[in-house]
Amino acid sequence: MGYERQPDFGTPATGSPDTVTLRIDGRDVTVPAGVSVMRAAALAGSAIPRLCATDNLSAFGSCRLCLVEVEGMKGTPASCTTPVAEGMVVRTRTQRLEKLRRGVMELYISDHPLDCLTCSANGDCELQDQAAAVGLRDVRYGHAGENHLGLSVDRSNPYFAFDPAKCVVCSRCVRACDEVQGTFALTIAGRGFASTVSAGQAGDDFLGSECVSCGACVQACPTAALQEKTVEDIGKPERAVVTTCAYCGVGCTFRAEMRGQQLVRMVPWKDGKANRGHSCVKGRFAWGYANHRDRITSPMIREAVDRPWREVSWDEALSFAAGRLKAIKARYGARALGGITSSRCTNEETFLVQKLVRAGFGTNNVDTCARVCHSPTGYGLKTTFGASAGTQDFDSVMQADVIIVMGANPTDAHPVFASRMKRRLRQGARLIVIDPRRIDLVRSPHIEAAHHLALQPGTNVAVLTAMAHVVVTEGLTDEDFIRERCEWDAYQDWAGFVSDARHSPEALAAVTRVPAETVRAAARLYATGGNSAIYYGLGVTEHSQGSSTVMAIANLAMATGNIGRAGVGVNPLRGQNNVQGSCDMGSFPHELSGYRHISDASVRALFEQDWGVALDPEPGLRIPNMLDAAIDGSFRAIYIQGEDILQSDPDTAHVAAGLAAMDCVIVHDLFLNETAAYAHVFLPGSTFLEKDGTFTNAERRIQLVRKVMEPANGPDGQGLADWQVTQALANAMGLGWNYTHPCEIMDEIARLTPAFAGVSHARLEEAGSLQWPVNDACPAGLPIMHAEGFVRGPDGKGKGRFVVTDYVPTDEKTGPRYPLLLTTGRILSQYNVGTQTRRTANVVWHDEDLLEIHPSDAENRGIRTGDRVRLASRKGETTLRAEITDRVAPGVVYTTFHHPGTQANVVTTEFSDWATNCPEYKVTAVQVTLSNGPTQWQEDYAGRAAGARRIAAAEPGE
Amino acid sequence: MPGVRPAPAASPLPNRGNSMNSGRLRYMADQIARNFAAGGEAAAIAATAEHIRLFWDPRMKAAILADDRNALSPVAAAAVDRLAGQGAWHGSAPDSSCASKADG
Amino acid sequence: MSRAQRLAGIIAAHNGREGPLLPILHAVQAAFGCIDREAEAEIARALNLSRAEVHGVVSFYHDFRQSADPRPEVQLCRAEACQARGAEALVPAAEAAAGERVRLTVVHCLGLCSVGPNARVGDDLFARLDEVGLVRLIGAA
Repeated sequence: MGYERQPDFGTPATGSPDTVTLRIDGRDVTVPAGVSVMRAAALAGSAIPRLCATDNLSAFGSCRLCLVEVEGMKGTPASCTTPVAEGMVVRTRTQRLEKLRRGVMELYISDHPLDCLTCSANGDCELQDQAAAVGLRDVRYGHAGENHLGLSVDRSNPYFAFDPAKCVVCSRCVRACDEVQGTFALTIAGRGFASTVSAGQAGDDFLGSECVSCGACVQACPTAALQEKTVEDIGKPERAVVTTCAYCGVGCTFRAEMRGQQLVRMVPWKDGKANRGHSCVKGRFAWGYANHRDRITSPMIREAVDRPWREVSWDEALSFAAGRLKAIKARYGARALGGITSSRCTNEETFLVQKLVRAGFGTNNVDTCARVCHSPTGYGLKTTFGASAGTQDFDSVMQADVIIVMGANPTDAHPVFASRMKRRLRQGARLIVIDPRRIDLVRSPHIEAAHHLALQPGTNVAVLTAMAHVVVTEGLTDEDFIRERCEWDAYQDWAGFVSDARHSPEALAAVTRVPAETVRAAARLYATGGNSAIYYGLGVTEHSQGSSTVMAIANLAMATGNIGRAGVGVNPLRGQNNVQGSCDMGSFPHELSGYRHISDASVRALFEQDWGVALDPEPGLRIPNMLDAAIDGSFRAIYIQGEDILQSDPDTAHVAAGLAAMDCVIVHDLFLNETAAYAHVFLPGSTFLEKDGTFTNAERRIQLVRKVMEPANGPDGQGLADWQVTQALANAMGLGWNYTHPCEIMDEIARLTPAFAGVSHARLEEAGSLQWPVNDACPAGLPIMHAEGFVRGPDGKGKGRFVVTDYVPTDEKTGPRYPLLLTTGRILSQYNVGTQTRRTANVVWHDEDLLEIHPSDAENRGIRTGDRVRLASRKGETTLRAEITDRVAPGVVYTTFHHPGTQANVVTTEFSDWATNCPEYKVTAVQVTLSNGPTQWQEDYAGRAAGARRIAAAEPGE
Repeated sequence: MPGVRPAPAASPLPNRGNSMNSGRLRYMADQIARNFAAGGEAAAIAATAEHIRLFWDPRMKAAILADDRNALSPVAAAAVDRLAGQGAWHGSAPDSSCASKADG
Repeated sequence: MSRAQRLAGIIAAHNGREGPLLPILHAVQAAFGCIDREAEAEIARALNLSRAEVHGVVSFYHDFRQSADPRPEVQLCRAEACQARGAEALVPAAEAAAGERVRLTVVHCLGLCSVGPNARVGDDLFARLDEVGLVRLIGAA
């Protein structure tokens, strides 16, 4: 498509099912009730001039350009603030109106720079457009009066600049920050002619303010006052391609605006069903890693990991890899090989990796990063509901009356969804936060949780059991729902269990450290407050009872009938852009695509027939067990696509030992990540901009990823998308694959996976996106699951199953030597292990991980903010800087894991969830003391990492 | 030095003892058993056995079957007995050459 | 009582009302002669507003100052009715009398339109002023 802005109807839609008919400029127009006259005119194809109105913000009525004449109304009302009425007669173009509009525009232009021809918004400026639309011909005031020209430009934010001289004080930026993002970082300071946009208080610039750089203001700004620096540098985009973000599980859709092969900017797509036109700093701005100097674009191999890398051709790298793999298979058997699929690559790509492992290597030793994040969700929700996925879509939050956020920090980790949740909270929904830490949602401008259960890390199940106790013993269950939709016997067992006095909030308060009355109030609110929804994250799953906690959450939802309609449900906030997808594709060692166990002979037969090869019926190794087996000597080769286990998995020493013990480590990635230090083969990958395919977000929404530029890992036009790399490796092993486009891979997935039977790239093009299951039963996909029956049973009409979850305290105990508990989390500007975001300007916000420690714990240790401290556990120790805050309770410390130098996982343990081995990152017994420098390990690590990244210079004269 | 692939005993990194045959598998089995305990002993034994059958790879199963059951908790031990009796495998018997290379 | 305690006291006194922000701002202005950056931030935190929002309100009203000015203040009305009654002619003498010692500020309408020129010192209003009277008023401030 050519470059055009998306249509803007001026004021928001109302979604009303009723309609109103009115007459605009002599034509009858029928529109939904409650919309503004401006929107009605725009829907009818006749746009009224406007400056301060834009359709993702409520009407403001300040610019006075959109005046209309309405029969029976005095004067010239603003069409943006005037709702339609049945039979209304409106005129948008009369001499009087034209004169008024020109007068208004004249005033604007009298205080605006006249450098259109050299301005970065030339050709893409609403002020230009409106000046033209109203027919402005001269400015009678001249340009010598008081004005705002020549004010200094705020360039503090790395991605966009604010030029007050070009500002028309339409307040769109302030309103976008308020209504869309919910951060309230901007305001109009001063009054009258002195009004000016301020990023906070006097003296604050954008970087120093509360601004989170989401870009909503830049998108809203009609002039070049707020403008992306890339547009200033590169110029106006010439075309736009809609694609899906590759950061988190929200799965925002963007228009990738291009000039040729160069990306100018990413602008949120208003029709994206997950993000509805909003974005966060990462997807919007932090895509520069694709061109970072660290990006590797040539295949590399080395005989041993202490040698420097050698750049070679694709053929040489692939035959080297295939050769080693075949030799290992011949000598040690198929079960000595394995692979890790990337949760950041497309569905088609992860499907090929698991196919390579199963059909090529001949084993089920394939796993994915969900192992370390939401594998308990898979187990827990499959057991209780029958489907390993969240039950709702994101829009559902707008109908929730009570929201529980447990073990999640969405304003940092799922920011675009958090903004929607905050919008609903500002409308009056009530919030319960269950988290050891006072996350932003507990209290931040205009948001306050009704209850914050600041529990002791590791006691999730106890808290949920106490809440269940209240629900059952106080008669707050939805018995009709349970009788009709759930297995009654299992319910009785569960109800009897939780009703026991030892599970009361009072009895458990000592363990959870949550006052009993808070638990009771929260439970009552959840059970009786209307539509109640639970959103949870890794603070639930990354525990030794992660799966039990997920099941406890499901139990609560079933007991109170909060399943099967909008506004309720159980919603895991999946972390990665395609972790849901990679799980759907059968990346787990015990399951084929669609969550069907490998032992099921009929399912296996389906694949064996299609793939032409016999499959191993035994479950394979999970990642932690792969490492155990490697140290043991029985697992010797691994193909890792897009995952950095050395930085992200727990117990770094164990991961390093496992990798070091293998004979063939193949890393397929964009950069020489930490894991690559132990690799023998490096296959350069492609970014999401360089491939076609699909991602599936936390809503089960499958969305297209569209290629906008050629992969950089080959000379012009000959680079390989990741699926082509995997295919090339498969063919080097003799598998004879010949996919020519990812849509063929999706067709194969659809053939083999009932939940995906109706999915194809063509259907996705047509529908925009589809939430699985997509098949004959649900041809258009399924936004809300379990509406009529739980999918546990046949035909999706089964009954939900209550599962008794007894609180089993973790074995990770504090003691005199390690008296504090460490928990971990994420921050907005960095993504996960920072592989991508550390290679963008986002480092300006977070260039090191900090240890949050409570004032009383800090005081006892003589620690002040900024001091370097030693963080030690029984596993290892590391150092980082401290930050004193009362966000954490006494006895609890917290850090992020975005920087490899921090080596946070040196201290995390080998403990994991009983059902899935999801690591217990959230509970580590530690001691914190002052330190005077990095640990020996950190220094050695940095040295080794640098050494492992040496690339031999190409030999002369080749 | 990284990459000098040591024999497990000579690893430059501290020996974590996380091999297939050591306490790790016993710990995992006991942990599974503990989490099924609330359903009563019989149910816990059956559930533990089924969990291992569904989710452990062949060498892990072989290792726990070969291990000293007295080192396990009673429920876990009974579950392993059950697996031994009823069969831990889904398809063909595990690749015996692989299993023997897996022992320490 | 420290400044922080006094500020906390003011906030607590008004926090329960509907629309507490303006009453708090007036009280802080009266108590400290200004609403500085720290006070804005503390008020924002207490009322769970953003710093930007509070600053927007503070910067909008000319009664609120960002830094204290300990000088006595005389407000002279120069709105249309007082202009019609000759207030403009008093301005040069008033400015001379005020010099650096007195802060002479312009306000628009004290609601005494038929009896201007008008001025205000603190909560006291003065009407029917002439040059002599105004200069004396400024001198006494």
